[in-house]
Amino acid sequence: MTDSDESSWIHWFCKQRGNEFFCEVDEEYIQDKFNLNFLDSNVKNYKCALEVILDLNPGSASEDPAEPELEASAEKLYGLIHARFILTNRGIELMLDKYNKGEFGTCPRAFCHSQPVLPIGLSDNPGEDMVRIYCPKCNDVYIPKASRHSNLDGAFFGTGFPHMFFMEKPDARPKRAKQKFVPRLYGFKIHPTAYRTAAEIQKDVTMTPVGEIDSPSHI
Amino acid sequence: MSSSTTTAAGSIGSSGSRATSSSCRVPTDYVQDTFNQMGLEYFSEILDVILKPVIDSSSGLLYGDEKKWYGMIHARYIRSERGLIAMHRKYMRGDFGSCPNISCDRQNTLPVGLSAVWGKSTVKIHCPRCKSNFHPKSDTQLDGAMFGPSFPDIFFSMLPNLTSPLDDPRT
Repeated sequence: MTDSDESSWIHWFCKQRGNEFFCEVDEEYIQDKFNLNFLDSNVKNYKCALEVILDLNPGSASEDPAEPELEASAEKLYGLIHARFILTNRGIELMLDKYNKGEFGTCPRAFCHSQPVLPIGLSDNPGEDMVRIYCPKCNDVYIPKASRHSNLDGAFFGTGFPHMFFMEKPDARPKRAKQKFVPRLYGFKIHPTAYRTAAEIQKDVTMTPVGEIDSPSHI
Repeated sequence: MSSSTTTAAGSIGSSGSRATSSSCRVPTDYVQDTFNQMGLEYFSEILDVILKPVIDSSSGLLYGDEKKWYGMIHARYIRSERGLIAMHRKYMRGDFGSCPNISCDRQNTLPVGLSAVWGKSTVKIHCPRCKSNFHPKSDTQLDGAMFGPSFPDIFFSMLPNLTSPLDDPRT
């Protein structure tokens, strides 16, 4: 292990542009094998990837496979470890700090008034979908504003993170958004029948009984 | 429906009236001549600003009160037949962005103001599928009054033939 944490792989990785959503997982957490159960089947070259993350064996470059492939495996492994870590008390503390600083962005919905959001995955399996953002005020899920954040795998955060987050920190949950957009045309509300499609309008006209059309002329 | 020329003239007259009531010394002749031409000439350019956060300050036409007047004329123009056709073209091209809600599957959106009064809030985008308003992705500073709160409903009322499932998210 290197002397300085500032030069650790974990610190370097989390500082990379596009990785702002990640928090730094404690090395003690990664060193505990229990926390890494079943991850070896998800990652190529698992042992070497783990050594990269923990900065072990920096001198054995000649034995390593191609650098880019190993780096990709390390990043994937770190992401999967990260998804577990942020469900722990320690992980939630770190993510709470990022949430309070607004590092995950704000809700794009106008009436949520820039409510801070949390990252959420739509699947716990890597490679299925990209990370999304969850707004606790409108309880909805959105595509992140910055495209560099959309490139992260959703499985690196997991489907349950926001919900575990607010179970642990119920005070952090904002009040639900009550404000709702009311469409108006020159100040008047729109009647639901105005939203019929052209086909529906045509159908209604066709079904009008002929007798009703004749009535006004009789009067 | 009246021709767009008549509508434009009416809009300018209306703007002139408000100019008088708000004590802005803009002669009606000046408003009619300059803004009528400007509205048509700069139509595409001003809408591109929605997708780009920087307004070119070197353009004297978009500085001070001219910006406000143009916005007022613009809000009326996009309700005219000609304006709606142009906005439909931009809507179909996705020029106004897509809905950020994952349930809407990147539905095309329309610009909308939260108020018809100038200076209240910036423009938002309206998703016809979830019927919510969102902040545009690009941090534009265009005033919402340039479009007004009624525009999306005028748009869909005047273009009911958007019946294709891809065109009409309400089906």
